[in-house]
Amino acid sequence: MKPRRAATLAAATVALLSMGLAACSATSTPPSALANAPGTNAVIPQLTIGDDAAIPTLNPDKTADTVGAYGALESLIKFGPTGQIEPALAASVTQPNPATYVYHLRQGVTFWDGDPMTSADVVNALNYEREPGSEISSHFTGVKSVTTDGPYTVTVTLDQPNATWESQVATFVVIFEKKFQQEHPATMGQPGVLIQGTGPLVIDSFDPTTGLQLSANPHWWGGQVLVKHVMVKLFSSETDEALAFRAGEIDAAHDVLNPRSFVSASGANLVSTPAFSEGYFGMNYEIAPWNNIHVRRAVAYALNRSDIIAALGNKAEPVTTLIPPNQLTQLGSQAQISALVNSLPSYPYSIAKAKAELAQSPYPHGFTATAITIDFGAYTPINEAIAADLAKIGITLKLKLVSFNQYIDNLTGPRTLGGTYLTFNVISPDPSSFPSALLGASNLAAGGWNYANYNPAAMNTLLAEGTATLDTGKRLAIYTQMLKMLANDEPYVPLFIQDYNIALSSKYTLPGYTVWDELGAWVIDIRQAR
Amino acid sequence: MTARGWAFFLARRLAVLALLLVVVSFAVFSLLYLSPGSVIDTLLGTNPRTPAELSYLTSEYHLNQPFLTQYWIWASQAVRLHFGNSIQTSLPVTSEIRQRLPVSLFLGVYAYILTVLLGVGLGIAAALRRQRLADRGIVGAAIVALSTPAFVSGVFLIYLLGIQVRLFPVAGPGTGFFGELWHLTLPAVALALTATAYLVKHTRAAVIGVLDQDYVTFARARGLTASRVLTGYILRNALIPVVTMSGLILSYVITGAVLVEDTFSLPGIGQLLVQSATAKDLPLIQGVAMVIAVVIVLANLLADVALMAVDPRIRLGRGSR
Repeated sequence: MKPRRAATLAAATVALLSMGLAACSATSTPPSALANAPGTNAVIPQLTIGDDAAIPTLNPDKTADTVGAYGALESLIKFGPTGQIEPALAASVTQPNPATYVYHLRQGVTFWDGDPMTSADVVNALNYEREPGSEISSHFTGVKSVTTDGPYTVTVTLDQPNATWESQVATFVVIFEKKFQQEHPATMGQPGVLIQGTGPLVIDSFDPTTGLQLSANPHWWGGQVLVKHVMVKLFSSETDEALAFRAGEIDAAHDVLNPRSFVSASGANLVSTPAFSEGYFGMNYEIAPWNNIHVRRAVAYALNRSDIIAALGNKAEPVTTLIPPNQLTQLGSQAQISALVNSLPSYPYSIAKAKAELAQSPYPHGFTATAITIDFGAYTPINEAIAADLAKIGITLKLKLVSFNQYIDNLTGPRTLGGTYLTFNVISPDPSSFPSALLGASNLAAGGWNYANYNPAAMNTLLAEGTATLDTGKRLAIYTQMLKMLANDEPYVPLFIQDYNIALSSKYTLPGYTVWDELGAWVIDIRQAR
Repeated sequence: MTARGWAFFLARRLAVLALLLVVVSFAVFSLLYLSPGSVIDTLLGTNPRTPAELSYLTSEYHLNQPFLTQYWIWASQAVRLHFGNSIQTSLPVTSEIRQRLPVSLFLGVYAYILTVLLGVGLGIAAALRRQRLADRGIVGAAIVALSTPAFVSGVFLIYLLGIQVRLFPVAGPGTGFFGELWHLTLPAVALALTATAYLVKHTRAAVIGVLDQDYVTFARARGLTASRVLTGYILRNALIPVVTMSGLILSYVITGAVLVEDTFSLPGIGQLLVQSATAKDLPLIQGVAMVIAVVIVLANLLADVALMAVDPRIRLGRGSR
């Protein structure tokens, strides 16, 4: 997340110019539906992809998700097209008991330098990533030991059964060569040193100031890679990326956060899929006036998700649950999840009901409050839409623009915020990922994200139980109970699940793109358009 | 000026530079310490955090030490030219700066050359055609350029010459001398526009001031050619304030290109400063602040030396011996 006031000013200029562009451009924008149509199996000699996310290093304990997304580094297991766990570098996984996972490694896999991948590499990578110095070590807290019983067998023993373990492995673990890491103990991942992985794309060069160069791995265990060369070009902002797209300097842009202004400035097609990125209006459970249940329910009734999603450029789906449906489907069928959502107390948009709720509070005619916002993505238009909705029931929400660091500091520091909008992103698709970050006692400490200050004892029990069993039926029951409690207390009003957007040139297509592809090597799935 | 005089002059400037570096480093350190947010939050983002992880990072970045101890740890390394490693990339600060500085220097020098050529040239032309159409046109254009922030003119240039005409690339620094020249043309023009406008107005005013002097009238009366009068009498006197200003312009175009670097996605010092400030990457911010302070002092030193070269009154004045 990168706030840029200058970029926003530039964006305003771009918006003006793009009106001119739209008016005088000879080539009209093709419909975005074509961007994920089936493509051909022709070889793509060169793809240039823009990204405005920083890639400071290739060291997997810092940027595994980004580099993994570009198909360079792989895990033992991966997500299939509908989110099911599938084999990757491990050909199979067995579970002798609920807290032990035995990974039977795929034989014949080689690193880019030609050396075979063995269990020694896997054990070393797992231990490296769970050291305290690793920024992803928190995902390995329950790991008791990582051992090997042979060149192709790795056993991970957990302290206790953990339902999130498989998702964590598929999301955060990446395997790199032990020999290479030991030869470069302090510099692995840095420019000029790079890293040795097994993925479909080989990292040829890396410069944190300009980007990455990758080429197809001819020995990849997964078969032929049609995309032969990829250049990842780094940009200062999405605005710059959009202009480069318009000028034909990039073929695709990764993770477009402000789709409305990007499409306007670039004329690009967007391929979109609901992501694990949810927008909430959180209200402090302990501080007046937000600590009043009628105020929170009044707010829930007053917020019009359609308006808010329109402010986001319509690239989002409305949601009413803190755990989004695309994560809940890991625990049950679509019908079960729909039934669950429909059974919860709900607050559909209704100004009359909002006013009736507010009338029962000590603030029947409303009140004035201040909410912080940042100059990033679509935060400002979303906050303005929220303020406009609340004004209809007499709540005046004054928006105060703060710096990015101030914003984070306020959300994760002392619990003094009142009502605040936040888009929270998680990488792990497990249904526990949002609750375990936004709720409970452990997230009230400095650095925690429970900015609604919501900490009932029953919720802490549910949070612990939700990950301690592997039984999906039991987990669904636990999370149903949790969602009912949240719907009654309404500390967070879930608003929408934001789409993950990739801008794609009309020369290419990304068929069947889903959020599960985003967690893997989506770049190699790009095809030439028919 | 004698050799001793030059040595004294340089020693005095270096002492000022050293003092400035101490003041700047302490001020930046203090402001960062007081500013909200924590480097740990930046590093871990929305990842959950464990006590062991927090303890490791707190100790690694001396966050558990008192403010003055933290500053002393940094300063005692910095005097040995060890500026530490970037918190974000783990690369040495010196190598981060070494990677970025060439882009900023190329852009800055390119913009400076454009500024001086256009600013002085158009300023003289406007002065010599005072109150005529050319003068009014140049002055009007200068006012427009002065009122246009660099990132706005940057976006306009991108639209016109990058997207519509597709003459220049719109992002990135390019490789090789000619690649860089091609890639940095639009950013250099965007960066130079405002400074050029200032220089046009200053040069015009200075030349007009000299044109009315008696010694210029007398030179013309002596039958000297127009070019001789211009170079030997008018410019030699009129350009003294322009030379003084050029030092400020040089330091501005090298260190003040933050918005232009952002607009054109150029990995320069300005962009590095913004990124490191956003991430509270203290070693990197301090390193960049030191570089900016050195560039400003050196650019002004160059301007003073140039001024001494063109103005004997300063070269031979008090304190020069």
